[in-house]
Amino acid sequence: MTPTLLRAEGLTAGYGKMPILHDVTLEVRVGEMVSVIGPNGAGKSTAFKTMVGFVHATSGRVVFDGQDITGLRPDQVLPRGLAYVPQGRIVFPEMTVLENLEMGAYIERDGARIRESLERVYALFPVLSQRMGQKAGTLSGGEQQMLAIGRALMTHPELILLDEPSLGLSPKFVSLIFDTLAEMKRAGYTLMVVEQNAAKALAVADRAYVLELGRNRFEGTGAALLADPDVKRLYLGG
Amino acid sequence: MARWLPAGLLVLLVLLALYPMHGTGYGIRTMLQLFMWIALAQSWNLISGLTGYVSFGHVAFFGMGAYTAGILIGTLGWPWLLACLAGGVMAMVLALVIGWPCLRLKGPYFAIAMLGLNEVLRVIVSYYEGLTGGGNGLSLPTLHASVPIYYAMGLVALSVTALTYVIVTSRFGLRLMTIREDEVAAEAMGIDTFRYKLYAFLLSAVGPGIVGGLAARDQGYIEPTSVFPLITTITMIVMALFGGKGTIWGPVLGAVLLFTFQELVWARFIYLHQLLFGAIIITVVLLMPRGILGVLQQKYNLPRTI
Repeated sequence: MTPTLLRAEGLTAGYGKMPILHDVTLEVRVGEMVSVIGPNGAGKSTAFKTMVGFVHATSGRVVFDGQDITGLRPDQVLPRGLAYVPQGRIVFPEMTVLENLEMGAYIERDGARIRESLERVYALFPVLSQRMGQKAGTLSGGEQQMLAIGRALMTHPELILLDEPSLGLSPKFVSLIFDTLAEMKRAGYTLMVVEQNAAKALAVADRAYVLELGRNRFEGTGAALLADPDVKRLYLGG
Repeated sequence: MARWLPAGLLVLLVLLALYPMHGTGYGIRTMLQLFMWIALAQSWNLISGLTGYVSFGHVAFFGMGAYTAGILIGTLGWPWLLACLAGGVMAMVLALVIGWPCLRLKGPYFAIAMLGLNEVLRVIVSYYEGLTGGGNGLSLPTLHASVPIYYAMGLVALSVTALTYVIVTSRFGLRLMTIREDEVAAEAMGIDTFRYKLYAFLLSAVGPGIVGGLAARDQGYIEPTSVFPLITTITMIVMALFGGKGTIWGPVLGAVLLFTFQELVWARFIYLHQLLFGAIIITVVLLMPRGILGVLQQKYNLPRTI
């Protein structure tokens, strides 16, 4: 089994005095694709925000690549090789596609490495190379999501956290985004994905967690959870 | 364009530096005011044009500088240049006090807080009569220093513009622009947006602080209504918007065009001038939100560093 890349252990966190997560544990190993599913309000996004440092954990710890990153700020966590793609396909609308990608590499000083990252992103998302000079705000929703992911890849991350990448996209683009995730996994990226689209998220995942009301409810391989009668009844609408 | 720009600028600077030797008293004071507007519009651009955090109370820094310098010169007998620099420092301190809490928040809170700040300062200054002279104002000892003030104003305008150039072409500037474009995305990339917004804000306060002190020295008399007027904030915003916010030369262009226009129209039609200002705001917002330079950049595909 490959080594653990990130482990969040016993996380309790929330906004103000209201706790959202209760003792949540999530783990991802090198090369894995892990999905986190669950209904609205399950704490999926909060779990990601806590791991990256936007929300402070009141207890528990986060270990990334052997280092304890609990309580660090996002600007301290993200340069360590963790990339975070927030919900809502957020791009810099007035900048071109190329400028958006270059911004993604803003911590990188080596021009050759930036070009290399660009090549990899264009290989993964050929449509972005065709739209290079176009303003990001004029792309379609699915293309903007690809750009948001591509921008996160520009820093050579070891782990990519994606929050609801298929949210609000047309069915055609939802499928395209999941194909993309599978493609990224084949290309060797380690991924952790929060998704509402449970069936598709389980189908592409090596392993998955089901959260409910801020607690771990089920976990297992994607295939096992997909076949589990309880998961099926509760989350897959069947 | 990039080739003749530096040479043209150099010639212009030399001409401006030589001007006081030949210019009339009126001409020198007019130019000095133009420099003041360039410094103000350009400073506003640093925070609002680059990060998108609109300051509706930038004149507060101007007033802070004016009163700091006024009190230091009037009651403590400081040399005016030093007092004006102290005005810049105090404006920065004020920016820190207001920016520290307000810039932690995203969105329009900052704009509203800045609007309030200016009103609050004006009341405070009116209230503490012992120090500020209150509503009676503060008179400074007579001094004929138009020429040195001309150079000082010019230097501030030049410095703020040079600073803008340095910022826009740096990584710091890129970070500021990502905040303007989308702050959530900037944070998701690991940019500590609060810190960079605060830096930009502090830098944007220095120029108005110094310029406020210089204006106080130039006029020899200040009162709350003359150094905290909302119209000053509006004028610097309009100049920056008209010329092109977020660009290096836009605020300079806007200040030159509108100030010239104002000088020509002001003398004859006092009310018409305000009406026209309003009309310009509406026209710019509706028809060319990027300002003159923004439109030119787009049309002729000019680099961002113009």
